[in-house]
Amino acid sequence: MNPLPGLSVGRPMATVALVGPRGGRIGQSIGRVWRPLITMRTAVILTLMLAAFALTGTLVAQVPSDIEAGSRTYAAWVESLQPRYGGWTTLLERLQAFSIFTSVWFRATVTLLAISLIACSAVRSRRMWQRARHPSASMPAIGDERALQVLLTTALAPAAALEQVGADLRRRRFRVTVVEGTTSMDLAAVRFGWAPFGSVVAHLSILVIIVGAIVGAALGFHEPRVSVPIGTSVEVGHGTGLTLQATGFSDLYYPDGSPRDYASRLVLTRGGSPVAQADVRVNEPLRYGDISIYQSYFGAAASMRISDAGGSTLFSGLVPLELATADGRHVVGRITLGGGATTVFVVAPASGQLDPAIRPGQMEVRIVVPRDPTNATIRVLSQGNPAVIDDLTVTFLRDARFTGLIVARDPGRALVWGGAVLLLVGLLVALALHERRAWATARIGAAGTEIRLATTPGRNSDGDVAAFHRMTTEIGAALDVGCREERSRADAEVV
Amino acid sequence: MLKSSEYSLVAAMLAVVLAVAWLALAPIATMIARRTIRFAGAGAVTDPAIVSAPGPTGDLVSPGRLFAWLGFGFVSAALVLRAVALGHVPFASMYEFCVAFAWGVLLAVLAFEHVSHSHVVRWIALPVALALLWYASAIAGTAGTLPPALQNGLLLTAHVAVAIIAYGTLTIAFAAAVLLLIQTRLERAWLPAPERLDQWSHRAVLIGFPFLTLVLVLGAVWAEVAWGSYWSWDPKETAALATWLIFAAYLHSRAARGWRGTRSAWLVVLGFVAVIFTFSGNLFFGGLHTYSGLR
Repeated sequence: MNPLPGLSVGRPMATVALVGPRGGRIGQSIGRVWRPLITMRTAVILTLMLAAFALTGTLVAQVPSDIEAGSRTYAAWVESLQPRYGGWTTLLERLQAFSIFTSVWFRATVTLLAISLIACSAVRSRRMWQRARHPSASMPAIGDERALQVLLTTALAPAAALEQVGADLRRRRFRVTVVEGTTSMDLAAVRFGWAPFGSVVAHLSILVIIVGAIVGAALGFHEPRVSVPIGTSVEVGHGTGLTLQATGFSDLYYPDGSPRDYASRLVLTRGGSPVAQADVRVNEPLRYGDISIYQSYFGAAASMRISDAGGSTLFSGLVPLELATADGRHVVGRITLGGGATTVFVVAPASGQLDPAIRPGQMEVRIVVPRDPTNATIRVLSQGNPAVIDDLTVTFLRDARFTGLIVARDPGRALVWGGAVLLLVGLLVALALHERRAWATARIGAAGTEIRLATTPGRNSDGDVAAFHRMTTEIGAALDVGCREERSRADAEVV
Repeated sequence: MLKSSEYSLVAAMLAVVLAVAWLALAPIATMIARRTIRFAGAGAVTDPAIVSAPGPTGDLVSPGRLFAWLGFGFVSAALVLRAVALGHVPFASMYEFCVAFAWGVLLAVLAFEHVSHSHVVRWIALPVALALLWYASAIAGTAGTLPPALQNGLLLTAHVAVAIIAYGTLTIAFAAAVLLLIQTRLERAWLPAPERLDQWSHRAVLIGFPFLTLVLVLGAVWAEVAWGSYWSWDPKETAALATWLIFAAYLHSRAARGWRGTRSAWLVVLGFVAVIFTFSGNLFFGGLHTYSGLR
C-alpha cells in the first residue's frame, strides 16, 4: 500500500555493474584496449590532438584541393615551398603536414575519437537511463562530506511530515518517489533528471555530422570551377542529365572599381525543357533538388574561330579567359586542338591592367605544339582580322564574358545540419539544466519525528548550496514550529 | 557620421585608459589616505569611510566602474554611428572586428561584475579591451566597401555578433584563469580564493562555449550559401575549430577527472591564445576570410 497518496512508488535502484569482457587471454586483451577507450582521459587527449592537427593545418601551407597527390603538379607545388620551409620541406611532406586533414594521423585520430564517443555514450547512457528512471534509494550517509544534509525535528507524524516534504518538492518541480523496502519511510526526488542526456545527444551529434560529411564526399560531387561563357551551355554531368545555360550577366562596381554585385541568369534544362531558372549571385544560389549552383567568379572571354589549312573549322566558340599569369597581369584562355596535338592560348590584359602590346580590341594568340612547348608562336590579332599562324587561320571575333560557377550535390547535407542542431540543443540542455537530486527520510526520534534532508551539489555548487539552504529553511518553516535544525558541515559552509 | 564614430572611439579609449589607471591608482590613494590619518594622530584607522575606501577589490560604485561604463557607452556609440554611416552592420573589416570585440569584452566585464559583485577581472580584461581599441585606432578605419560575399545581412550580423559574445565571455574566463595562476603563486589577500576564481573561469566557459559552437554552425551555414561548401578547411575555419576543441577538452577534463586549479587554468589560457590567433588570423593567412582590409 502506498502510504503517501499522490506520490509515485518506486523500487530501489538496481545496481548498475559495468561488466567488461572477462575471462581468458583474448578477453583480457580486449579489455586492455576497451577500457582506455571509455575513459575521459582518452577523450581529452584525442580532442587536444585534433586541436593540434587543426593548428598545424592553419599554420602550414596546405595543398590546394585541385592538386592530386603524387602528380607532377603536386611535386612542383611542394618544390615551390622550399624557400619558405627550407630543409624542413621534405620532412613535412613525408609527415603529410601539407595535407594534414587527409593524413593518416588525422583520420586515425578522428576514427579513435568516434569509437571513444560511441563507447562512452553507450556506457554512460545506460547509467543515466537507470538513474533517470529510478531515483536512487541510497541516500548519502550521515557525515558524508560530499553531501549537503540537514536534520529537522518536528512534532508531526512521519507520514504527515514526509507528505509535506514531498508536496514541497513537487512544487519545486521535483519528481518524487516513495522508496519501499526499507525500515523507515524514504523519499527520493529528482529534477531535470533527463538533462544529462543532453550530453549524450551533443556527443552523438558529432558522429552524425561526421557521417553526413562522409556521405556527402562519397555520394556527392563538388565542381569548384565551372566557367560558362554567356550565351552558351555546359553539361552538369555526374549522371544528372542536366544542362546549365548562362543566358545573361550583370555586374555593378563601387566607385573604387571593386565589385559590388554580379549575377548570372541561369537556366537548368533536362531533355531540352527548362526545369529551373534564376538570377544567381553570391549568397543566392540556384537549387534544384539536391543540386546547387553558386555564383563564384566571372571574367572576360573571347569569341574565336580556328580553321586548318584546308578551311575546315577546328574550333568556333567562346573561350573563357579563366587562367591567370603568375604576375596577375594577364588572363589566359586555352583551346586544345587535335586531341592535344596543338594548344592555342588566348591572352588579354587582366581587368585593370594595361599592356601596350595588346590594345583594346586586340587579343594575343600563342600556339604551342607539344614537341616544342618552349617555342610558342605569338601573334597579336585585331578583332575581325584573321591571321595565318602555323598553318592555322585564327580569327578573334569579339570580346565576351563568362560566368564562373560552383556546381555541387551533397546528399549528406541534411545529416550535417541535423547534427548541428542536435549539437546545439544537446549542449544547451547539458550546460543550462542542472540535474538535482534530493532525499528525505523520516524516523521517530527522542524529541519527535526526525526528517533528514539531503542533496549532493552538482556543477553549480554555490548555487546548489544556496538553493538547498532556501529549500530546507522553507520546508522547516512549513513543517512545524520549534524545529531543531542541524546542518552538515558542507551545508554550513554556504558562502 | 563616420567622424563622430571615430571621436566616440577615441573617447572610449580614454575612458578605458582611465578605468585601467584607476585600478593601479586606487590602492595607492587608499594607502595615502590611511597614512595621512595615522600621521595626523588618529591612531588606528577605524573610520569606515577610510577602511572601506576603494581598494583593489573594493567599492564597486567607484570612478573605475564609471569609467568602464563610459567606455562601453562610447564604444557602443562608435559602432552604432558607423553602422548608420555605412548602411550595414560594422563587421566587415579588421578595424570593425577590433572595435566589436572590445565592445564584447566590456559588456562581459560589466555583466560579470553585476552577477559576481567583484571587479577583479578588470585587471586582465580591461587591458585586453584597451589593446583592441588601441589596435583599431592604429589601423585604417576608412569605410571600405562590402564585397558581394559579405552581402548577407542576416548571417553577417548573426555570425559575427555571436562571435563577439563568445569571445567577450571567454575573455572573462581567461582573466579569472590568469588571476588564479597569480593567486596560487603569490597568495594575495586582495584576490579571491583560487577556488572562487576557478569557479568563475569555469562558469564563463560554460556560457561562452555554446556561443562558440554557434559561431561554427552559423559560419558553416553561411559558407554553404556563399561558397558552395559548409567546410573548406579554410585557415580561419581550422583555427576556430582548434579553439573549440581546446575548450571542449577543458570542459571534459573538468567534468571527468575533477581537474581544478592551475591545470585547468592553463588550458583556459591556451584556449584564449587560440581565440586571439583565430581573431587575428586574417592578418597572416589567406583563404576565404581575407576581408580584413589589410591584405
